[in-house]
Amino acid sequence: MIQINELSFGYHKHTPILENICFDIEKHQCIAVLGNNGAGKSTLLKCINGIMRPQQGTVLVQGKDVLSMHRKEMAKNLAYVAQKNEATKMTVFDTVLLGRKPYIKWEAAKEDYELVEKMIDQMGLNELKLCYIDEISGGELQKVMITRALVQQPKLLLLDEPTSNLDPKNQYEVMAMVQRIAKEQQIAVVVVIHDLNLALRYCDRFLLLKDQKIYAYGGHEIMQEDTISEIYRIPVKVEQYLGVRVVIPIPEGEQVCFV
Amino acid sequence: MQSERESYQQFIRKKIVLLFVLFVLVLILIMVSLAMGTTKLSIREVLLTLIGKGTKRGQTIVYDIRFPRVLAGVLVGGILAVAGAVMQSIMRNPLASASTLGVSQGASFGATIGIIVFGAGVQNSASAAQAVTINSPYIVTICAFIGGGISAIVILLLSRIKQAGPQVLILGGVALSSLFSGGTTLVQYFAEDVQVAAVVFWTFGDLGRTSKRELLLLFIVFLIAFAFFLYHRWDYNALNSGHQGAKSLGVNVEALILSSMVIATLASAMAVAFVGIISFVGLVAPHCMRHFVGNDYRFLIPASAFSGAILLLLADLFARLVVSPVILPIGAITSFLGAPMFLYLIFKGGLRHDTNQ
Repeated sequence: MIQINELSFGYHKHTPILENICFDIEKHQCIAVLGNNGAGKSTLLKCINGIMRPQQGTVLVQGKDVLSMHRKEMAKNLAYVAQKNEATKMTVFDTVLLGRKPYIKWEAAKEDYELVEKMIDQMGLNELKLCYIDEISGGELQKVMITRALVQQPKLLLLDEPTSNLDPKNQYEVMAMVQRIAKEQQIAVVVVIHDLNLALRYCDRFLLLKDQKIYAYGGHEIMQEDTISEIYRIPVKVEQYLGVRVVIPIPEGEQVCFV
Repeated sequence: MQSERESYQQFIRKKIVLLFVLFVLVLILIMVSLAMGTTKLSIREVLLTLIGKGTKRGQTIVYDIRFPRVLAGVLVGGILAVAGAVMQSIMRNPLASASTLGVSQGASFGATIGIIVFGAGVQNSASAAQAVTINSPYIVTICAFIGGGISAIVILLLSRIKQAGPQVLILGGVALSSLFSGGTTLVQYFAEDVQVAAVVFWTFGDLGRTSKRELLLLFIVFLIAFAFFLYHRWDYNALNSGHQGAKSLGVNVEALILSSMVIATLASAMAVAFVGIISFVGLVAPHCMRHFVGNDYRFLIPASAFSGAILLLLADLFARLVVSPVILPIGAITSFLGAPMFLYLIFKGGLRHDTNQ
């Protein structure tokens, strides 16, 4: 289990970005972090994995505080995929191999290569293995980066808007993949996401951020019309359609006719 | 799955073969450089001399005259190229190198101060050729290192404190270059003719001025820098995905940038201090190699070292042979030949802004 306790962050004392964030995650759960722009979603992810140093708080993974660990140890517990990934002239295989960086001393071991091989195969990236990552598509790059994060063998995987630059097909593929990873490999996943419908479909729990604080945290039951409207400051309808719950935003002054 | 594993191994093997080819090229060029010159020796003579069975004349030419020069070329080329490759990684800027970040110009300013203010370069002989020898190379070297270090610190501060992007860093480098060039001119203006001559002579760049003791020092610097950079090859690869990406892979980014920058600057300032301004090697060598091995620092670091050595050996051969027995200034040759080569690469589209932020 992963516990985030009393996490607070701010650039200046009087303007906090995050205030007293506390929540628990079970190891196979996929948590969606939702909230408006500037609610502190990305900052929360960066604080959890120590890219930004929170003023106070702990992140306990199996009872140990990762924030007080050495970077290398931390990278064995937490993996992070940034919102924008830089593509450079490196092959997919070598990029994924970098996920073993926290374990490599002087040279990558045979086991490292085998794990990379296995993961690339599982993620269906075999065809691309020797392609340079600046030559593949955005969706493929996102999958490569998630694969790299998995090769770190983390307990907690943090994804910052993994679907924001992808077309619908890739959005669904990537999120389905994330859900599958959480279940199969027993990894807790925290994903910052803007698409409510993707979140409703693929995530188990929802962390709603508003005004630097947790507004609500819970399962599907908290995702009601009034809560979502409050968070996003826009009226919404939640409907059941073809067995799937969908959120339909209704900007004020617009008429929407439900048939 | 077995066959796919092999294909990655084949891919890696190709890169290793490339490294081997580059290494052999360096050896061949060393032999050619030892053989060619005002007095031509055959490769056979050179080989015999090297194993201690040559003539007295051959020994003097090979060991006393050409060998220090050739070794200086290999070491300085190697140092500048690996330092350039690493600067490009930690600055996340494809244009970073000792000469584009103002490190060379800072070193040159430092050397000028050393020669003129501290009197390290004085006329000690009546003959024109020796009138401008630097009689206290260590003062010049130390001054050059401090000058180069100042540039490096300013650039580092810009990138860390102001979080400046790649373009801003290069602008900072341009500003520093012009500051130090202006400073150099001003100091020269108030100096005596002989001192100015010593400075100009120093700035030309000359591989032949290094003594055996200095070569040993260069060799040690090269070894330390090369070993340090190679040890951190995985970290530089991680930096390819940005500072945040590298941090989440367990890299201590701040410490890596600081230590790498200190070593890269120290090494290039040292190289420049001993042989004078040699620009473009730090830029051209890593970029050419990126074309072949990609942005993979496991191979890019050794490949850059070899290609830097090759470039400098070629430039030196050109400098010595084209209007023999006059030896042209090596710094001018590297720029004169390096720049068109660089332009050719850009036109061919072989260069992309791979390390752009």
